[in-house]
Amino acid sequence: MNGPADILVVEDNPDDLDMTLRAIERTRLTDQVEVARDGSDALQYIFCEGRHAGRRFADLPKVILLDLSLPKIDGFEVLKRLKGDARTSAIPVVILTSSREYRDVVEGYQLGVNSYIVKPVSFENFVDAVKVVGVYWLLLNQPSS
Amino acid sequence: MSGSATEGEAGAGEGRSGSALAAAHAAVIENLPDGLIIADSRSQMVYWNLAARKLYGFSSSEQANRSLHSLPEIFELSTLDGSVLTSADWPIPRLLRGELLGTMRYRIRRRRTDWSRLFQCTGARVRFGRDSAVAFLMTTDVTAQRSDEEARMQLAAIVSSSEDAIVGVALDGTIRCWNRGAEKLFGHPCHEVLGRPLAQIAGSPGDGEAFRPVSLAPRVDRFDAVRIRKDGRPIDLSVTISPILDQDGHVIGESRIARDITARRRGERELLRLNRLYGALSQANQAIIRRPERAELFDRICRALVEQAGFAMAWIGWEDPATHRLEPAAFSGEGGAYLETVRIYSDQRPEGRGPSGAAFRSGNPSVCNDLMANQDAAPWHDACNRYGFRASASFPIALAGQVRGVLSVYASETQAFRDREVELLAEAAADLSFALDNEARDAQGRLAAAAALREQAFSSTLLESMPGIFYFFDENGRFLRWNSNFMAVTGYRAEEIGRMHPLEFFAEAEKELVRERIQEVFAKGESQLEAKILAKDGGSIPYFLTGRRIVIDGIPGMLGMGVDITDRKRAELRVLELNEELEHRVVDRTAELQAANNELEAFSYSVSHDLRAPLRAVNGFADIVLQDYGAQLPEEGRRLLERIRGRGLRMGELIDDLLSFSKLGRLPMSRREIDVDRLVGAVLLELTPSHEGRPIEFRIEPLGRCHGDRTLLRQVWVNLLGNAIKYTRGRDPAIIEVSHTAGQNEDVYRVQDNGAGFDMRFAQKLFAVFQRLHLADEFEGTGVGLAIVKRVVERHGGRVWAEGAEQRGATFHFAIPRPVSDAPAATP
Repeated sequence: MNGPADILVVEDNPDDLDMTLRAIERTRLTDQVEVARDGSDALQYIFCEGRHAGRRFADLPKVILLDLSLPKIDGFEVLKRLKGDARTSAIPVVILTSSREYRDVVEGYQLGVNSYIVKPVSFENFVDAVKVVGVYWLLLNQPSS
Repeated sequence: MSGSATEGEAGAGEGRSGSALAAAHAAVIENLPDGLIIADSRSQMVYWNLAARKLYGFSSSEQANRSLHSLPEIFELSTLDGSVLTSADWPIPRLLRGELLGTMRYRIRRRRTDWSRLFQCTGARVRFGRDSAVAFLMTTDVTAQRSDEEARMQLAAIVSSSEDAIVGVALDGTIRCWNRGAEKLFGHPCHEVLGRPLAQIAGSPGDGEAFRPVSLAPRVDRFDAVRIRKDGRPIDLSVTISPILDQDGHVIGESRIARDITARRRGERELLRLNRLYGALSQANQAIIRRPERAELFDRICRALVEQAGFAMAWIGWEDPATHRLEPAAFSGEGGAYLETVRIYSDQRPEGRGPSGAAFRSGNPSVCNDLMANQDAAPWHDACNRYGFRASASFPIALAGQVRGVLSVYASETQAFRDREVELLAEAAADLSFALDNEARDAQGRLAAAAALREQAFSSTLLESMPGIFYFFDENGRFLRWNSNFMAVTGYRAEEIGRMHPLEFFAEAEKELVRERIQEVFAKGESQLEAKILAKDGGSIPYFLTGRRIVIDGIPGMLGMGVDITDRKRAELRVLELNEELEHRVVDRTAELQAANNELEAFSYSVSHDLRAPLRAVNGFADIVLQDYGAQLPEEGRRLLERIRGRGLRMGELIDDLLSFSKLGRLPMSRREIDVDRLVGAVLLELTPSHEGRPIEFRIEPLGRCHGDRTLLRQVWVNLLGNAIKYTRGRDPAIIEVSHTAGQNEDVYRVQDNGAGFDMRFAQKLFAVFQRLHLADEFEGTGVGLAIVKRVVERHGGRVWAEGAEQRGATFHFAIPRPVSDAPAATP
């Protein structure tokens, strides 16, 4: 991957990560994808800390696909930190979840999540969902800044 | 002394007797002891002898011989009764005119002097010659005689003219003297009585002072007596008897002087009667003041009028409104017998026209001073005669301004009721009316007082028997009344409470609240509160107090009542403790439940999350392999991968349904009335795509309304109707019936189909999760639908059951209870 990432995928499950990356690939929207394997890694990436200290802060991802159940710092905490910081609050965050739990959805929206994808059992359906989100956030949505 | 002189001829022998004789005559005449005066026919006095000159006060014949006409200048003559004689009536002029003088007495007075004498004279005219005549007058001074005689005459005149009867009685008792006064007094003329015995004439009426026979006692006796006149009337006399003595001091008779003292007596009697009447009225007033019973009061007044005032009879009649008879209420005197014999009425009938009836009707005193002469009293004449009633007076007695009775008084003499008596008796009747009014008022007052007393006793008993405390204080917080409980509870004595303010019975912390509530009572009429009453010993007892603004005895104040709520407070405290304990338990239990729920949720979450992740990988990679590498796989390989993917999808469905089912128990329920017809219609519409093109006959009866959570019940209908549609696949036509029955306390719904049915042996398994009685190849489904139905119905407190037979259709029933207050749903 060369250049700043368009999409940051935060996912710890290797199967889901594989399928998510395959789905993004199938959409052919971008190949600039960065992966963080837990919440802590994701935040270090965004705020240019740890192993991501050399990254330019301004090169923020256009959209973040965030799994909720993450080791160390879970997806809600990550969301809170992003939306609580003025510099990052404008980044669209799409929750990827395997659950249809109502409370997850509600909590996510309360924290300022921009969209929401239930990971379907069917891969085809999943590719379709990622494509819709990607088209919207990568191509149509222009950041206000 | 005084001879009777007559007119005669003077002696013819005057010339012959010679001068010696003449001188003798002259000397005799000159020295006669009586005065001799001669006047000639020309009224010239010609001779006064010595005695005459002395009598008349002339010092010489020259002085005396003057014209008769000049004498009146010197003397005035008057008769014995004092009338002055004109000069023509003087004795000499009368003699000269030829009148016979007889013996004449006259009083002579010398003018301008005190000289006055009483002369007696006689005289005559003497004719001598043819036409010559002289008058001579013989005069004697009778002044000294006159004193005795005059006294006697005066006495006789006095006796004669006296108003008093003066009667002279001889020793034999016969009347010897009877003056004009006696004539007047007794009515007997003098000539009738002279010589008759006095005892016959001046008779005693029978009682009183008897006739006193003439006595020989030489003393003056005086007494009062009643005697009967000639006309029969009695007269009151004051009699003085004096003996008449002869010169030797022997009693030869007596004089009786009787004076009419009837008028005085009448006055005295009147005075006496009035005095007695005053006495009687005084007694009556005392009786009135002592306020005896009415009957006794009447009785006392009647007795006083008879016994004290001396009336013959007195009675009080009280009108019987029904008969108008004046019923004797009291009497005294001869009344009993009289009243038994008469009937007296208040109205206009003849027996109502007497004084009593008249007084009753007119409201004014009615007096009849002569009953026997009064025709209105005719009905009682016999009775009056029998008892000697001669006059009567009646006086109205009023009660509350209305005449209700009469006081009637009878006297045994006529004219007994004069103005003053009537006035006094009227006053007595008025006093009696006043007393009766007072009595009535008193009676009312006593009744009211007795009622008040009873009321008070009742109230007091009531208050004392009340379990709580009672108190009444005025606007200033001054305690006016309280019951003994109040003292027992507070421990204060009555005199202490009397000085205390209501707020002193409350603890400092509650005073403000109590003060507000008391103000509220006075402002709004009532209030209540719970507060602790502070006792004298420092203890406090919780009380429920109610206050009400009332007016007692004209004093606005607050009536307070209190009930000891110690037990209630204790119970409340116990309840509170229990509640708290219960709450703790509930909290504990809830926490446990919450924990279990959380566990369940965590489980559900992990099921949905953790089970689905590998499933997704299985399916996803199978998809990817098929898509990316399908072409390189043999046919069998591809078929197996397809089956892996199909079963994976099915597992996803199972997981989703399971989660839905577990969610059912956790969703909040909101019950309301549901229009089941509409609900079922909507569900059928929604299900239409699942049976497109199939011949299905829906028989939907009116379903009424039921009470429940619309969302949950909707799922019930979706599942039941969905099942019916699903399990009738292949039937031609499929028949699905839906009906409703309103039970006693529940609405029962029935969904019947003519589909595959089931074996009743497995009916119990129908409603268990994941239990399926059919092959998945025959009918798709996860076996959660009926479990959901059962769960929803049971959450509503209802029940669900099923009937069926293999290939003969199935019937599902579920019953939803109605709220207790609801009437059964209408079933047309």
